[in-house]
Amino acid sequence: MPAWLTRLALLEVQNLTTHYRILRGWVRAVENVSFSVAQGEALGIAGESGSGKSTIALSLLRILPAGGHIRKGKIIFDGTDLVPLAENDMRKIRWKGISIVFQGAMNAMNPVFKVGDQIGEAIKIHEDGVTSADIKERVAKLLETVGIEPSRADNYPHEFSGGMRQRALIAMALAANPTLLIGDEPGTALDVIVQAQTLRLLRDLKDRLGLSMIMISHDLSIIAETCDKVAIMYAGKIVEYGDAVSIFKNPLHPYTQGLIKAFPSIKGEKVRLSSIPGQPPDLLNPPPACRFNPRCPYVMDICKKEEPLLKENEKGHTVACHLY
Amino acid sequence: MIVEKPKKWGRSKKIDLRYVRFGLEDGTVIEGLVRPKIQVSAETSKDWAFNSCYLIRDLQKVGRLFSIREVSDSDEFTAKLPRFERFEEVADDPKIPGAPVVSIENLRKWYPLKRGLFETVFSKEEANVKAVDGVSFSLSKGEIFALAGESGSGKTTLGKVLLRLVSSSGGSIYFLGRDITRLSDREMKPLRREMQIVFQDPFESLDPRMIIKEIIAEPLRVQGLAEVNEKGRPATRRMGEEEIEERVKKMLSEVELVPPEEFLFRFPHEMSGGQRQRVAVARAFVLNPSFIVADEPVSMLDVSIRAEIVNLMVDLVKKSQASIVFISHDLALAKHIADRIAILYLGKMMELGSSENVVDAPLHPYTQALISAVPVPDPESKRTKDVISGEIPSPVDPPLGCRFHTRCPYAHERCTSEEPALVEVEKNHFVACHLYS
Repeated sequence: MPAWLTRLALLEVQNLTTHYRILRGWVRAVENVSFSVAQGEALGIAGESGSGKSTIALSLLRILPAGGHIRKGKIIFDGTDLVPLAENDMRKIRWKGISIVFQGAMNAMNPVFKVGDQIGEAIKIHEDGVTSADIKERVAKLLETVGIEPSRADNYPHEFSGGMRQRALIAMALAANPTLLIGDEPGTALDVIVQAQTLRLLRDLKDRLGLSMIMISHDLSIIAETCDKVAIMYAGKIVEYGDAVSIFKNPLHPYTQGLIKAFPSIKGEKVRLSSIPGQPPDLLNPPPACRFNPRCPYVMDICKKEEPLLKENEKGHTVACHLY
Repeated sequence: MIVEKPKKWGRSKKIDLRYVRFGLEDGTVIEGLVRPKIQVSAETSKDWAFNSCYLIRDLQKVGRLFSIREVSDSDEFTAKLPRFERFEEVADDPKIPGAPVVSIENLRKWYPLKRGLFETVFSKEEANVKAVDGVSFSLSKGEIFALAGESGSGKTTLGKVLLRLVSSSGGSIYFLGRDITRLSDREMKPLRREMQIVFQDPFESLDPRMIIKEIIAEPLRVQGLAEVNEKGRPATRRMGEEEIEERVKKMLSEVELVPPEEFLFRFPHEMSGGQRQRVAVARAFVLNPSFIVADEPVSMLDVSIRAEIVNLMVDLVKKSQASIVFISHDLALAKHIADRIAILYLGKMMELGSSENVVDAPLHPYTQALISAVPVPDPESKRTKDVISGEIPSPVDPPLGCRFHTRCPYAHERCTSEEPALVEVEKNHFVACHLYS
């Protein structure tokens, strides 16, 4: 791995391979994925649905659904490998070390508990010996951090608007002072204005609290607005990885190029939209060698025989493609 | 004076006059009243024809018939209108712009709020959710018209009211020159052939127990085949099984589900989201409609296939010359496909203009805020813009005056008391804001 990747890494993922066991075999959701996140850095993971982005998030916290297994690889967080860790020790990492803002602000909260109590619960579970007065005070402070009136802690989730629920979820994720925050599609299902407010809040928090972040999204524009580094995933593999500016300015992998073109920019001339023809592959039997070869416009013979490895093309920009 | 026979029950309807609207060569519209007995051509059987040109002898001008509707003499709005006496049908004049396929005037949809007994008895005020509150526009042939706004702005409700899938609470809807605002379901049925919808979620809009062939064939079975009979009148005919299958296959290849034989007998669950949405598009276009509402047709689809479906719809619209109302919250997408964009906020139209004008040079502060909130796929342009605060207020009790004033950075005193009208600020660019009036 190139030296720039490992510098000051808070989280280092090496060859992570997560599969789901189903009756017909193993679904190869994530294969041989490596990346790192430094202190105070934001990494964006982009790709279509089914590319394995959410599985990575669940693997990092070891909260995979039934049937999901980490079959290989290391997740080194703050010096310890999380993969072989006992469940009891893992619980100490969750929320205090790594926490997550789940997708779907509308449904991620329990409708029969007050918002303040739900945030307080996260503190109570993850910290020993806190008094209820302490919790109350900290919940008020958390709500203030995300821009919600602290008196609203006594409201139920249905009394909150969509944007406020999203903010409350962020407050909940911050409850135990984590060092790494994962956002799983934090902007989708929100209106543009509320989405922009949420993204701005996340950026502010990152700068103010020195948080590291992993943003998972299918929307490249959201990643462009919030992240320093980008990993593009296709069918369970990272196909391109590097700093945001060089990936957006100079996308190398044909899949990245297609994905960027598929997003109409609000700036610039009116154009006919372009798309990536074909469908994402079946992960039970992924195509051999390069998994993108059936949809690739530049496909060559070698793409069907040999798997391309991630190679550094220029400083801080790696790509897995035989074209380079 | 003609007195219509009473329909089933209720009062007999008195028809004293007909209200007509003609579009002229310079783009202006004239309206007036005619007596129902006026004949427009030598053939006595022939009545007014939508989109045909007539010489209005009283004004010595040629106009294209945009709409005609029966009105009663006692109507207060008829009092001010001029009356025309003499007409003559003339050959089609291509210089006169075509009649709008759909036009709506001051359309409203209020949903009454459910209230308890106590409130019903003791509170005089009626509470309504003002989902659509006085919107007017017209849609010309082959036009792609985008309706954009936040959720809760009323765009989906407006789409449904346009198709009469829900009834309106006020205003009027003209479809192909006919006032369809108060037509009965039975009278609407033949018109349904001409108006179709594509829903947002292809996982819910297709019947899971029907095969693809039946899904696409259903409109054909319900409506039959439109053709012209021996007397030269439009008629419908039931289609035979083979004919239907032929038509379904043709439609499947038009939406690029090829070879069609492979898809005919599949169930929706055997297809991906993109393929399902193609089926929904095929179903909407199979009757060759002249008007389609597409309600966020790609927002549930994966990014890499959105463009394919959008391009497919644009191509079909161009080919069939249908008009389409494209409802979307994605302004970037709307800009690239639509001819015109209308921005809705709390049931009111805030801005209306060509897609370039609205997106590249927005006038209304709300449009400006919406556009600056759209994320841009360029990591170097980040962190510079202002985001307006707050969320859309409740449509039950919308703010007085301009509805946007609670969030508007330029709000002044006038905005809180007086509601701005939609005015034409530059050619074909309308905005409802006191900053421009």
